Amino acid sequence: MSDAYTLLRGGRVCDPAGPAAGGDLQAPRRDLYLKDGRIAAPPPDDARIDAVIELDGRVVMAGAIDIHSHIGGGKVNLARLLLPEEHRQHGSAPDGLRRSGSGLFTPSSFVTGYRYAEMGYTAAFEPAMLPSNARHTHLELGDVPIIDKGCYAVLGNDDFLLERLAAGATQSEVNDYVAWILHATQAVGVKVVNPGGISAFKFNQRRLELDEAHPHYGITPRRILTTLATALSDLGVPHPLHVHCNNLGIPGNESVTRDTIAALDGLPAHLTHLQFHSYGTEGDRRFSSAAAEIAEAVNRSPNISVDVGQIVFGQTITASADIMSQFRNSGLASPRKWVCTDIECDGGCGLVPFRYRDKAFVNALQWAIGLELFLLIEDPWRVYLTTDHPNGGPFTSYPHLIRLLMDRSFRNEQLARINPAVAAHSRLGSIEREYTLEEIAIMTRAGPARVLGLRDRGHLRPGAVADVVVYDDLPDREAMFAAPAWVFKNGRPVARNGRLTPNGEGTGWGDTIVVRPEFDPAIERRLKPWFEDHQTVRLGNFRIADGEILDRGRGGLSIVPTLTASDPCF
Amino acid sequence: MSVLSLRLKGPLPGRIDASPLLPQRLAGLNLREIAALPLRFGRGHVAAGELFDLSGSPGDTVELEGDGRLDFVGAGLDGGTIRVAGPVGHRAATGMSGGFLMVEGSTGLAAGAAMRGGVLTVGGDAGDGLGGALPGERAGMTGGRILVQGSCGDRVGERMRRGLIAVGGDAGAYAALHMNAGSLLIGGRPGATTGHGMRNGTILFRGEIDPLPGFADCGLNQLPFLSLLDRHLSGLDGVPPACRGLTGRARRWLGDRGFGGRGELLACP
Repeated sequence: MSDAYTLLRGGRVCDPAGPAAGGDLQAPRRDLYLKDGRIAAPPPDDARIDAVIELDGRVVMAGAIDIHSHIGGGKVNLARLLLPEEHRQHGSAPDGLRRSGSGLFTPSSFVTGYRYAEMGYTAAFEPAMLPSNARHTHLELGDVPIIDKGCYAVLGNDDFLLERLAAGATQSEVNDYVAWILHATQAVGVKVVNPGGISAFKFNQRRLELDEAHPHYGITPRRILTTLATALSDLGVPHPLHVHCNNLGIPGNESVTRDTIAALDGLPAHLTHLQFHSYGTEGDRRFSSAAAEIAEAVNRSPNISVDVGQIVFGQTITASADIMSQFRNSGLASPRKWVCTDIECDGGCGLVPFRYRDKAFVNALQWAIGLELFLLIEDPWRVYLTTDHPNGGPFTSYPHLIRLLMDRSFRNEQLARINPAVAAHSRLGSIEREYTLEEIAIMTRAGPARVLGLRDRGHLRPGAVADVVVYDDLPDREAMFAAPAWVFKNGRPVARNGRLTPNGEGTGWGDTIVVRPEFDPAIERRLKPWFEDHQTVRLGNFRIADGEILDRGRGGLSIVPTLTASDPCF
Repeated sequence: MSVLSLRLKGPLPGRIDASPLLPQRLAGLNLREIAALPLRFGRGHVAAGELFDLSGSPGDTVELEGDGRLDFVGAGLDGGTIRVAGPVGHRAATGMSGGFLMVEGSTGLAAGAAMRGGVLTVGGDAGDGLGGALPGERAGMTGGRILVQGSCGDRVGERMRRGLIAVGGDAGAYAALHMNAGSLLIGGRPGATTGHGMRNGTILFRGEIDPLPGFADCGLNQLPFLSLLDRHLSGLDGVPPACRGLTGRARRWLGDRGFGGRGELLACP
């Protein structure tokens, strides 16, 4: 620990979660002091300042946070195996600072960390960690350098929960189970993927509506959804239930999405990759945009936050635990190979490589639907920038998306290039909204931090983790956000002008962010025999110890405080 | 015709990626530039001039002194000729689309994998995966010709779609695994599970075989096409003699019936 400060002098600080008017770029320039990896209050005059970096009016923001990005674990690895040609084509050699790696839309763990840091992202969250895959996921994320990471445990199709719900378990028993899973798998939230649907698929069901009974357990997706959302709310887990709705990708699924919002009935929830759930059935092709209806439903429901899952044209791979939709889409695989597999009876996994084509009506309309959602949802605190990496496209396309949101003429230029039928079917061309820098700072930093309950990230108030990004204020927002002038992680410079920079300490490793609500350990009396009878590992071995993540000082744990009754609810 | 010769200065320090040494790529460079050309070696690179003595003039032919640790020789070749005195390492002629790669010695793994055109001749033996598919690819060889005087390893012609592979000696297990089309000629004895998963294409060999149960015995035949094939082979250079002399008599099996079953195994006396 040193008592010296680093001073970032004369930047225009864009900090919407900071002090009043913190997002006002016209405000006087503000100096930022970094000390011991945190933002510090302005020090006394005689304090030792080690380094002064002149920012000359550049734009300063907190490190960006990706709330939903598939960057590790079982299915990402299967995706890498399925497309070795991607890794043959996109290799990167070691250079003394970086280790070697490969891949573009399923980058290897090292490349993932480097690319994120070079873009000014300092945290990313793996949204689909099956509890039975948790150890693998954490081991892999442990090899992602620089950035902080966290995982959402996938529940809602696991036989233990479904069987207990069918047997009439009380809410408090479910709460204990959910809390036990969060502890045992070192997760920061819970995701539910196609509630009940993945399990129903194994009983030969190919579609499941919100109020349709599961063919074996007889319970409905609505019940699973509300029980889990209530559990997280009762436990005080800051990140509300992360919901991947039913019937992903099916034209007309907007009704189930709106029903889901209605079913939650005021319970906080986060609807993920909403673009894939906003399809109508109008028009000659029976495929239309329902973005306006969905956006309206979101605008009316302050308990709901969303991320978009924007698509980007080009080759990628779709990777999802939603085996029902992946199996349905397997015929669209390009190149023509795909994998659908069960994972330890805990969930499912489907991988379908896909090429989004700008001349194809359906893909082009998907692109427009995503942008409509961004632009029609009014509150940037509740809509976050994602491509559902890699499902809509790689996370490296975020700077391009930011330009689409901030620059209407650029957006309309792109709209004119894609399948012409889309401009006629979509209201995108008539939307005048352009995101401001402050709104971008909210949707990529302050908003995700708030909905994840990260109290010391996503803003630049004294005490925050010193994850700071400095941008040149370029008119081309894509260039601006692709290559930030400076990126600081924990107060150390890690990238300069979009390239990793040596700082004498190697690249470093981020923290794993977890949440630890209280629960009654008596739930283990029920779980123990379940593990003995049905699982491949015993309960004692299933639990991930802190030491496995800390890995003798290489990793770190950062515990998100649970909400108490006095905390303002989301 | 201008010929560039590369002669080894001494034993190689390790496995070297020789894929930049393509005639058309070198033709535009002078000897000094070629000597400075970086070749991948482990985590770093080594200059070509540190490994080879260069002579002659760059043109459409490269003569190379071979070594079993020289990988990717002729990988991506699309024209010109590479002649190798001695063996080469793995992945020779991978993804080749034209020209000639003539190896006097043996080749390592996956020679001619994903080949699309051109001719690969091997004086010695070939390793596993000859003319096969790169990992994860749906198609293996899609064109061109591979002629091997010696024997070859396992999985020759895996996922082959087009082209000709002729092996003078024996073949390893799983020859023409999941073959889609094309011709595989084996002058010696085929290995275990030959033709497993083949949907179409032809595997021809000498002597008797007990094929997999997925193959239906179609008895002894007199096939006029075989004498046409023999005449075609007589017009080619470097066809192993053991693959020649087809009389037209053949015992024929059709299979693999678990996969469509339109491929054929031909045992020619």
